[in-house]
Order: sequence, then structure tokens, then C-alpha cells
Amino acid sequence: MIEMKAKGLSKRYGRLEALKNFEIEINSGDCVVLLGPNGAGKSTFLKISTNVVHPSSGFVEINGKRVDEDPMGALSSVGPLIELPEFYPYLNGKEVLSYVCKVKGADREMIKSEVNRLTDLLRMNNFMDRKTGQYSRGMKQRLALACSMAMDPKILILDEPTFGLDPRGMREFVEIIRNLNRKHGKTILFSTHLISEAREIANRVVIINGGEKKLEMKNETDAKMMRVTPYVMSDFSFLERSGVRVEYEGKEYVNLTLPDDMDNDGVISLIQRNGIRLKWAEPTNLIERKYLEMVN
Amino acid sequence: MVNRAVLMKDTYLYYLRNYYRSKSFYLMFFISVVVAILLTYLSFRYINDLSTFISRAHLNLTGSHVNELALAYLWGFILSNLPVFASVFFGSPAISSEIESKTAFHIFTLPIPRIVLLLGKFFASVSVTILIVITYSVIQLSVFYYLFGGIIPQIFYSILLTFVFVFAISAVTFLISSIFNKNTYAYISVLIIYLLVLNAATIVIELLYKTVPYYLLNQAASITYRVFINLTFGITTVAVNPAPAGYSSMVSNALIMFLYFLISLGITAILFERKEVK
Repeated sequence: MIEMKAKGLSKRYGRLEALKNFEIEINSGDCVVLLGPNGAGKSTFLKISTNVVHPSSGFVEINGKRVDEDPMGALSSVGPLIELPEFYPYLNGKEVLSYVCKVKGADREMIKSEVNRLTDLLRMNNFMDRKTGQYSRGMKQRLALACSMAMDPKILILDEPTFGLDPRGMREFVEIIRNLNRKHGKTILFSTHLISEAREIANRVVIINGGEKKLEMKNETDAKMMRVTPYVMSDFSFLERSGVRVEYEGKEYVNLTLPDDMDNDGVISLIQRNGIRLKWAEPTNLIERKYLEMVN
Repeated sequence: MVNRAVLMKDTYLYYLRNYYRSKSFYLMFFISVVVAILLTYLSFRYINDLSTFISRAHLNLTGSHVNELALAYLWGFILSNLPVFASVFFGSPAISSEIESKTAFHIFTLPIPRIVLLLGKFFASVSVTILIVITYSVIQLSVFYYLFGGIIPQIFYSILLTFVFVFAISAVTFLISSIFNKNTYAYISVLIIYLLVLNAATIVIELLYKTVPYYLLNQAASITYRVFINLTFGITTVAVNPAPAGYSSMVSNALIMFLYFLISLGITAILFERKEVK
């Protein structure tokens, strides 16, 4: 079932065309990652989807309601997190989260239980009573995610939510989002410029560059492509006699394209038989390859 | 769907909390108390010299409450300026700060009509400004009661008219704030418009057309102290009417201020609805 779609979406800022005729359909339970470099148009699309920016043409529809025509109706089932939002500095985390729950229709009892649930889930117990003006970036990020998750929305729209977090924070964040999609069945639209995040989270990836959708693909590996990392860089030309195409990438990696009659195990044992010890070998993820092709 | 009235109340309380806990509020509160204390000092020290002041200023006032009216005029003159500075504190950054500090990403994405957000914030801003006015007025009323043993009704008229002015000046500052995305521009523009542009316009209109531009906000706001002595400082003339401004004058000036409130807030609502955060 289609939960969200964009049709003929364009956005101009003066002469700059930030988004050009962008179209997408997102089904219930999907985890779609918008991948693209900075300034590609990812945020513009998400901002239009959450009524922060108005489209120059086209529309976004969520649960059958157009965001530009009925923002309240369209956004009632959405949990948004756009960039790193700031909060009113003299209010504490509980007050902010309670207000969001109220706006989404919760009564007093529901607000209390929802604030407690999210505080525990996102481990925010030690700072929810403090004013948000005293929060660190990571705390604000957690509170923002809590706001977007409040009242159990069907769709989460997250714009580079891990940006600026430390590696531990990033890992925890990615884990939470992955669980929301896989265990709780939430539909997730997530933008990032990090291929590693897209690989970890997405079941579908949309590559955007220059305001245009370049490619839409499943998150999958290519069984016929491998990247190997030898302990000591060696000559791999012997593989070419078996039909393997060899490409050296920098001083560390070698990309191999296997012929139809050879699988991963076959090529690894061939390499080892030739006396080369491998530090690492993995099937090439298509996202990375396609992304580099599209963006370059 | 949440009832709009309930949403409005919750939004108002949400913003009100943020306003009354802010440093701006405490600073403005402190300033209003300091100004009221200074005027209290003046009132106690100058009470016996008021008749000299009145005759030296050629005010030619008569009646039973001359001293009270003259002193209330001074208090009223200061009171009329309090909402201007309070609205600069609370109203100028009201909308521009949503963009500059990125709170818009939190608030615009919620399923709540922008008009509710705007009105909630506007009434919260008006409430804290009125609280400042009330603080000052309570001190004034105490001083007058102590000095004169009673309160003349004009003081209450003045306070009520100041409340109307609070709505008008707050709406104007919200309008200016909705034009800019930077707080600094909004702060400066409000002060420049009120203290420079309106006064410049008054001078031009008086000199060229020999008339007091009663329709300008600063002129309409002067009713808050003209209810004591109907003294109009023109560039070419000083018009003194010993009688306080009458009811018809109060109503017409209140109406002008109300129109400023209505029109400014209406335009602000349109601009706020179209506001984007790039």
C-alpha cells in the first residue's frame, strides 16, 4: 500500500532549481534512504514533505492527503525530524515532548505514559527535567527523535538525523531506526550523505544529485563483484587467466568482477593458492558503486 | 483531530512559559520596576513643587485634581513607552527567531495550523507585556493612593488604553518580525520605525500640511497620557487644552490602535503562512 508519494515535485529558490520534477512512491513498511551529496536536494524534498518549504510545482501526498492543501491531515501520521531542530530554550524536555503529544491528540494519561515510554526508550532520564537551552547536540537529537516518535506515527521522516553525532551516538541512532522499521514496521524516509548508513538501514535507496532523482534501487550486494584487501599489495593479474576482471583501487583494495562460472569462494581459494594472504574480502555493495557512478 | 480552541490554549501556555522564564522578561520586569521607583522618588520629592512646574510650563490648569493630573501625566508619558520596549524584547524576535534559531523545524512540522501557532505566540507575548504594564501601574496606583488618598479615574483610563496600545504595538512588531529571518534586523527595524520613521512622518505632515497626524500609531498612543492633560507637542505649535482628553478622543484613538492591531496581525498571518525555512 502506498503511504507517501511525490509527483512532479519542483522547487526553485530564485535561479537555483533545488528540486527538479522529483517523483517517488513509498509503500507501508518501506525504509527508503535518500542518498546524495550535500546540496543534492534531499533536504528540500523532506522539507516540502513536512510543510517547512512550499513546492514551486507538484505535490507530496501522505496517506492520501496533500501536504500543501491539508498539512494538518497529512502530517498527523508523520513523525518528522528535519535537520537538527532547536527547541525553545526555557522549556524542559518533558514540556516539549508533552506539547508534541498534546498536539497529536493525547489526553493527560496518554501524555504521561508516552513521555515515560520515550524517555526510557531513548535513555533520556538524566536530562528531561533540564531546560533545552542547556542541552548538548546529542541530547537535542534524542529529544528531536522522541518528538518525531511521539504517539506512534506510521511514517518517520528523518533528515540526516545522525549528522554531528559522535560515532557511538551514530551507532545507537542507526540501531534505533533499524529496529523501528524491522521490529515495529514503521515506514521510514531517511536522508543521508553516508553510504554506510544507507547500506545499514535501507531496503530501498534513491540516489539524488543536482535536484534530480538519478536512480532508485534495492539495497543489495552483487554476487559477481568483490572487493579484497590483501595484507601486502600484490599482483593479481593471474586471475585474469580465469576470466576475472581486476581493478586496483588505491594502494589497499582490489575490485574483482567474476565470470559466470566462478563464485566468491572459488576466487578466494584461487587467490590463496597463489600465496596471497587476504586481510578482508566482501561482495561489493551495489549502492556504493552506483552512487559513485551517478554522482561522478 | 484536536479541537482548535484546546490547541490554541496549549500553544499559548507553551509559549507563555518560554516567555516568562526568559532573561528578556526578567530584564524588562527589572527595568519597569526601576523606572517606577525613579518616578516614585520624583513624586514624593516634587509633590510640593508641582504648582511651580504647572505655572512655569504655562499649563494654566484649573480644577480640583490639578496636582494629580500633572503628576499622572508624567507617569503616563513613561507608561506609554513601556510597551514599545517590551514589544521590542518579546515581539521583534517572535517570528524571525523561529527561522534564525531553527525552532521552526520543530514547530512547523507539527500537525497544527500556523495561525494557531501565531496567535498562541502573539497572545503569550501580549500577556507578558501586559504583566510589565501592570507591575508599573500597581506601583503608580500605590503611590497615588498614598499621596492623594484616592485614585482619579483618568489613571484607569490610561492603563486600559495602554493595554490597547500593547495589542497594537505587539502586532506591529510581529509584522516586522515576520518580514525578516534575522533577529537583529527585526529588533533594529522596530526601533527605527517607531522612534525615527513615525516621528519623521509627524514632522513632515505637520510642516507641510499643518495638521497633527492623529492616524499614526505614536500619535494615537499619546492618548495614554493625554487623558491627564491634553498637551500636544507639535513642531510648529504646542497645543494645550487644560481639560483632559474626552471620551470621544479616547474612543477614536483606541479605535485607531485597534485597527493597527487588526491589520498588522492579518498581514502577519498571511506572511507567516507562507514562511519557509530554507
